[in-house]
Amino acid sequence: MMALPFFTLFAGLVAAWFGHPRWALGLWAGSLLWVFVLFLAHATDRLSLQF
Amino acid sequence: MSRQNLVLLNALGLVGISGVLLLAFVDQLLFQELPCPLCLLQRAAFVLAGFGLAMNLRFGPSTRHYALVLVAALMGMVVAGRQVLLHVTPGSGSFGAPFLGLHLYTWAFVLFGVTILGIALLLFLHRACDERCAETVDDLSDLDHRVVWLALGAFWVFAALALLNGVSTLLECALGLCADNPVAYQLLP
Repeated sequence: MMALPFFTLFAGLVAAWFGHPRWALGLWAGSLLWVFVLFLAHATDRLSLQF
Repeated sequence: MSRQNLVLLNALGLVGISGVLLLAFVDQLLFQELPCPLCLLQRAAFVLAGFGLAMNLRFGPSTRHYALVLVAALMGMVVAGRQVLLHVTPGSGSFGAPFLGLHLYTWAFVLFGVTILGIALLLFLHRACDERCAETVDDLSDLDHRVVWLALGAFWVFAALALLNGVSTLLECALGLCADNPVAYQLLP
């Protein structure tokens, strides 16, 4: 669950390398959204991520 | 500022972010300090920020790509700021050993701020390049080959660090949620 943004961003970098900027931006935006969701989950303690 | 110098500054910025991710790995692997959930989110924010610089190296410097870095750095500051606030009250403890007097999350907060200032500088310098450089975007062949090699090296080292962070996080947390205070990798015996 927490590893997903890293893999998505790596996929975005590979997409960028092969000349697909829209795919890269889409994967970046998806990763940002997921990181934000995880952070909100932490901040509100909805997923027991509180360290 | 010339396009070549802008590419060089972007490459150096990406090297800097890769250095931060590498130091985090050194702390994790040599000192056995597994990253907490908030620490992982800060790493992800660094990768999100570096992504914009990597896009600049691949497709040419663009204000759109700087915007990606700014959003990611702000996100990182919020996450790091939350962790600082969690530990700022007396008796609330801390996470991990300090480095040069500050904890890693405090360093992260500072570095995200430095990133924002750096992007502000790059945007300031970028304006002079907009008209002259528009026709050369997406083509690095006109640049000094040393700058091109630095840009390519920075791009792929950064990509490798993003992938390694994914593998490391998967080993630490498996497919579920990370432990609040991790002491062992869930997928390693």
